[in-house]
Amino acid sequence: MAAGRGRLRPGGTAVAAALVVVLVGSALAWFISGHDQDQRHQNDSAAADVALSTLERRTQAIAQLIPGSPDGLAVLRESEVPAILSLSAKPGSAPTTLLRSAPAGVDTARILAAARTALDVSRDTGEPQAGPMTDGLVPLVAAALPDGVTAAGTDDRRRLVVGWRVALLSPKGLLASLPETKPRAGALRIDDAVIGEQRPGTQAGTVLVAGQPWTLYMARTPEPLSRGALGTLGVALLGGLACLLADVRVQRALAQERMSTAALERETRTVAELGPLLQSSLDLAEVLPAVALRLADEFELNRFSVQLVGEHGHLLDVFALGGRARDGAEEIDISPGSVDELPAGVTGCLPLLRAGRTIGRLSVSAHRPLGQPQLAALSAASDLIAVATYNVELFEREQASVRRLRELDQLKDAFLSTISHELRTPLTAISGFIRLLRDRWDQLREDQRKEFLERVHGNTLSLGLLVDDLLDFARLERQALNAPPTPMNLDQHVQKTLAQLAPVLGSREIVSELEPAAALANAGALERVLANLLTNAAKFSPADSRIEVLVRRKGDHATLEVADQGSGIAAEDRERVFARFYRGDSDAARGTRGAGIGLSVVRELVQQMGGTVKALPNTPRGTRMVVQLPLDPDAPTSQNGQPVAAERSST
Amino acid sequence: MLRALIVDDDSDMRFLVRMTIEVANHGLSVAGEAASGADALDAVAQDRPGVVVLDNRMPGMTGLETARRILADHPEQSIILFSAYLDAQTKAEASAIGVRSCMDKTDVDRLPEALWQLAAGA
Repeated sequence: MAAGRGRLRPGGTAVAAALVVVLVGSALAWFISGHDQDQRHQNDSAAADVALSTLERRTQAIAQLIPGSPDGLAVLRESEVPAILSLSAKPGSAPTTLLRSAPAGVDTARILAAARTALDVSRDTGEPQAGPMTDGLVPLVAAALPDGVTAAGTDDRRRLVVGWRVALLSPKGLLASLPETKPRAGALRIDDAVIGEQRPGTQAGTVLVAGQPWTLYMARTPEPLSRGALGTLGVALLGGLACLLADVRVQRALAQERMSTAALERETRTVAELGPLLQSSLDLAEVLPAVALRLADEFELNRFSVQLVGEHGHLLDVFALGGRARDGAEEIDISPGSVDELPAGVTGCLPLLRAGRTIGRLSVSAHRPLGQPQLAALSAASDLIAVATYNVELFEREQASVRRLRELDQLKDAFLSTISHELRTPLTAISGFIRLLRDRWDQLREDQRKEFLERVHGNTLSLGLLVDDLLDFARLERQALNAPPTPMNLDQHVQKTLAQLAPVLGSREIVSELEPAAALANAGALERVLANLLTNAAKFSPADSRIEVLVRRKGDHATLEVADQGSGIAAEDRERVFARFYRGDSDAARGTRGAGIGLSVVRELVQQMGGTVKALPNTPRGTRMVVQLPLDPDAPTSQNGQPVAAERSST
Repeated sequence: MLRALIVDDDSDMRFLVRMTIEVANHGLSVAGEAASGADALDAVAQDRPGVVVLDNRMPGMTGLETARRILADHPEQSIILFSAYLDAQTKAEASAIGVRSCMDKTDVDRLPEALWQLAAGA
């Protein structure tokens, strides 16, 4: 069959036999048609497209002679298949359509696949190529350069190629039609040369195909065809076909070898180019799609996904092209040395390793099988992706750390501002009252002096509580807060603490209902908890409103409740109020006092005593803080087993 | 007689200012007290005081916001911003709103003097 110059030499056994079968038909038809194709002076070094156009003209003439042949000759020219020639010819691209409408029994996709290798080789060598015979058709292809342009080499040609010229020859069709033709014996004319009879029934000669001179042999068909002749023809036909197939195999092997080299070169270049691509941005969402497309194009991938190890150790999809593999679908490890080949359609995985740990996984699947060279290239690509994603991770971690430090800085500023306000307010009051007493002692009545001193006392107490909070908080921070519980009468301790705290609660009415309860608690911690809850209640409720303090026994525990009639705490904030430095947005906006440390200290102290604390809404309004503490299991119970009557008092 | 409205969320501070004014006497008196900016707006509307002694850092409406609203309705109202935190920005903002003067809470003993100057100026 026609092939690239220098690839198959006239006279070669396989080639010659193939030519007997194929080109005889061509020459015969040429002769019958009477066309005298002037190809005598075709130069062997003529451009590939010129050679092929010659071939086209010849085969077209043949086609006219075999009308209606089911496997007839197909000649594809620019006007007939514009899609082929209008394709952009980037390296690695190939026409998607060879036949507008395939003849019966011809699978276009198979022909396309058969032509692909030849297309690549033709582009890289600059010579016409024949693909393997498929469905009775042999694709002849040549890369087309722009008019008047000569490529300097392979790279140049890859860059310049603008399309493909494709012819499909049907030797099978020619052979099938041979018995019905009636060639004139001994008059086969090729290149103006009349080929004399070599021996009865055989003709030989030379013809240019794709710029290459080929020797032709022709078996003259007697008329009518005898059984013996038919048999001889059949043998020749079968032998020719066998030789043609052998030739196709040789061609295929040669082409594949060339393609392998070219592909390897291309794959290496692709991987080398990934480095700069991956370093072009620290945004994975920007980089990974570009990498995926590049690799998919090179390795014919239909699936590419990158998963990274998430915060909790599970894999997170950070990018996927072509969707995820079906659950339960076969997935194989394609790390270097693991497998020889990744079959087409099967998903292969590569771990992304960096700094001695697995940081993620790359999964790929391709339309074609991937061999060792491709798997090695993909492994190199996965290393580059691992480095890039790790760098991004480091960068993001650094950014998060900077953000956290900024937040801490802001928290520190807010804390200092708040705490200084908390300290300054009572100090200002104390200082003012003392100065008034000092400067206006004589003008003040006795009750006024007493009132001033009471207020000084109350503010001093407030300051003391605040300083205690700060100290507790400091202990909590260094995990040195210690409040071991001991048996105590909870109600009595609450009663005593209420009396001590009265000066800091202003005009609020404190209503207590204290049921005797022998609980396990810590006296100092209990005092700190109650002081915090009460001052909070006073802070967030209107003047002259009521604050309830309840102690009750419930099952195996006692509850201490402090309920106010303030604005209450939003449902979403009821847990967060116990976080350190937390101050509700509304508090901050309203400028309410508080450093955001009191309730975090309360929770820690309560937990140290083996209890719990939570914030609930009060009815009809306000907040009800509920502390649960364990009852003392060794405490004596009441005589009748009934709860002891609650003490009622009003402060 | 210059009648002062005392606005502060802290009852001790209100009491201290009241006692400071009452003890100073001489042409000064307390028109009333308000524990929030909203209450202050009502009090000013109902009983036009000669001066408003206004805390800044209060729950809800701040002193500056309260002053802005008072002066929007009563541009001639005298207001002293009486705060524990008087930085340059707060003072500039107060002046831009139309607040007559600013005083640090730690100087509460000088409040009568400031009120007398205000009365003389008026």
